[in-house]
Amino acid sequence: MITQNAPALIPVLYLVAAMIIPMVDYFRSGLSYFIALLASISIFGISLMGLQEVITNGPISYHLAGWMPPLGIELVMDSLSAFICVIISASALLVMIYSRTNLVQELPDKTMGFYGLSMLFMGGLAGIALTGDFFNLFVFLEISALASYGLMAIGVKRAPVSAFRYLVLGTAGAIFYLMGVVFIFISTGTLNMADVSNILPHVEYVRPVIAGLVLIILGIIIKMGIFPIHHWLPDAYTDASSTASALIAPIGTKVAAYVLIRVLTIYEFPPLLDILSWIAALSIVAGSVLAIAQPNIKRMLAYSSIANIGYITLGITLANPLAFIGALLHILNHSMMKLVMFMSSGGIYNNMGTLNMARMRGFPLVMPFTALAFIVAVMSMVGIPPTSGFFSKLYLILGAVEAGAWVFVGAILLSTLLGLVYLFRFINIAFFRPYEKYDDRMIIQGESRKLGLNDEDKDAGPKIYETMPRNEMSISMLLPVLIVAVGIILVGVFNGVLIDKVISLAVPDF
Amino acid sequence: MDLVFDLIIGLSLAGVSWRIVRAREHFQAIVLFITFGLLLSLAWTRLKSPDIAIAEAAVGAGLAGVLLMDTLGALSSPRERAKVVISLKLLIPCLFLAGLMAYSILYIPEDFQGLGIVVREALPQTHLEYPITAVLLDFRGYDTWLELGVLLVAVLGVLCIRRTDNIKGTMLPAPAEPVGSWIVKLLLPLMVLIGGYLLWLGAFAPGGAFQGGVVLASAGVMLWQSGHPSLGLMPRLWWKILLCSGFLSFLILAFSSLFYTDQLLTHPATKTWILGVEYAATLSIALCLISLVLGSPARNHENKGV
Repeated sequence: MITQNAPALIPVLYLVAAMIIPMVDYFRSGLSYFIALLASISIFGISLMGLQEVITNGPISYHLAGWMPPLGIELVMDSLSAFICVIISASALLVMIYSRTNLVQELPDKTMGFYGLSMLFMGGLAGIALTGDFFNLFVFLEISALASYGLMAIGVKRAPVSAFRYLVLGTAGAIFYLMGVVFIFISTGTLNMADVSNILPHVEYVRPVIAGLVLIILGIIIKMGIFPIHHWLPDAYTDASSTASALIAPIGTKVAAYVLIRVLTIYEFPPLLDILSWIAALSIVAGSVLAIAQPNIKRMLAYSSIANIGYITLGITLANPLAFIGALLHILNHSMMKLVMFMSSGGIYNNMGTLNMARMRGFPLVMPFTALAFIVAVMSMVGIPPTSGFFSKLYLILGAVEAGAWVFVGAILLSTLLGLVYLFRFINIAFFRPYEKYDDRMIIQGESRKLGLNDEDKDAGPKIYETMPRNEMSISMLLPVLIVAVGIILVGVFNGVLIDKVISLAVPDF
Repeated sequence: MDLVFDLIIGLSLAGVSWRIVRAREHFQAIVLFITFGLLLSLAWTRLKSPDIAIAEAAVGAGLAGVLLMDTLGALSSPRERAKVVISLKLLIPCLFLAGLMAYSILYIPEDFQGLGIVVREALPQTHLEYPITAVLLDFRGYDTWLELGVLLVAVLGVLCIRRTDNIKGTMLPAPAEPVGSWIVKLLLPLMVLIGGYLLWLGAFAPGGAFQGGVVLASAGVMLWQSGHPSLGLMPRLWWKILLCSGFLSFLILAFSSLFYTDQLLTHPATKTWILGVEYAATLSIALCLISLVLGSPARNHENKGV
């Protein structure tokens, strides 16, 4: 019974948890954590059962209240949406474990709101993944977007401003999406995705359909934070609390990419795909270039997210199986990398008191295990073979080669080199320069520190080397980071199994 | 004659929106925005969608206006004149989009029926008499359920930004210039009556939970504006339960339906269930909207600058 009801249960259970949290919080404030954790664990279990069921017995179609598609809402769990759902629920579970101690330090009096909003956010994302109805998708989009505005607004002093900028852009995106859906509805007379894709090849007037598609894709692009419309993303990720950014960054934009997959597989219109490929390539290069210039580690990660969402989009728009496998694998990989990196940057901020990369010398001495996990994520981000990042890039490049798009191969390789620059700049500072006691003072005096070593020696006198005391993250924060780091290597080693058993089933016919 | 009327509405909509964009003062822009909402609800009436017209008049013109005015009151220098610059960079894509949409509207089939026929055929099975209520609460009840969730998210978000867990705590202090109590005496019974009537009407005519809820909400806001303590006397737990009541009643329906059918949200063959859900939804819509107005961070005078 649970597996057959999985498409409805997954989003609904998140929403139920969100409902119970404010009630229970009235009686005891510590309880909201346990409810969030319990919900995350059970939903992760249900998602896994759903994935198992979908792989063995084919897609689950679920009609709410027993009304059939043109009237009622259909929920669909096929291998693609089950795959996305498992990613969503797994990262939700990990961040919930992580949030226990971190939240007490960061937002002591807002735990109820945080857990309530994070459950609503997850419910919205899971609903987007599981729905088979265009308007229902919009409602879930609203839920997840509103919840993420709230989550982003509780952070440092500037956070409400960044969240408001995101709100303005996000609302514009949602409206574009809704207008697009209206055009599609007018042309086909149904909101059900499967029906729409059956009817669209036979519609009389093609122009409203194309206008609708353009509007929908415009809305999704804004939500994805791809290059020309990315301005909300770095600010929002940087200013949010580290728990919130660890929750939103890994999956928020990926789910928008999933909607893009759904929309593009419904109706094929080649010029749109070409334009999107070029936007994606631009995003890959521009995100990487902008990431180099960032002194703040979370900001750098946000710009690298822009580059990585470009990879995923490119894989989708190249429209061949290899590239598509690459895109799906990269959705998983990039979620894992960003989980590790954002969760550890939260730990870094708590234990070293800074997010400025120039002041992170001695990071591996202070937090050896976190540093180890971080290195694994960096290797995966650059694409060094045993880690999973290598394989998704390999598939993307193979896909681009098959499509004969050598420019895009160049863009991916260039971005890999740029990734090497911005990530190893951090590695260089953190790992290979010993912590010096006057570091802090010097850098505070002038952020624009000259790089020449002679200058440093001149006015600072003899160097005082000092090993900083070890100050590792608490176990509940460290555990999820290490689990994901191991996961990155495991997915890399066993990627063949994963692709055969799960991802290849999700690839549509081209 | 109809054409002339439609043209007047259409042109004034475009004109008012242009004036909103160009408005130099916040107050002027807000008043124009309320005008825009009223005109829009007229347009909806002309499009034969009375439900949307009522909702637009109540939410778009009424409550949104209250919220905007509220924000204006909290701004430190409301008299500051904004410099209106329309950037060419944005104008070109906007014109492109407008052109694309206008162009594609020409190609829309004229005899578009949507799902109207299908809905009317399935109407007897729902035991409701009004198709729009049937769509909202039965065919697409899932969406309505989630919309109630959206309202709740908004309240939670406001609470998070206010940095408080207590909704009622936001109710004090009462506004400096209370609305005269004679207005309350005059309007409150009327508003409760209209709200209740709209709700009752929903079963067989335009009206329903959203419209009724909004009217009740504006009654509540007015009660608070007049400095009447009755809203503050409600216990905190009850406030929370009523906030969630719409969502919860859908939830109860969903899970109880799992015991006798395979699909969530299937309800027994009477309209009692649906109407029960609708009434609970009305209460929680009203309370959510009141909380949004009362809890807007603008009123946070002590913590200004946080």
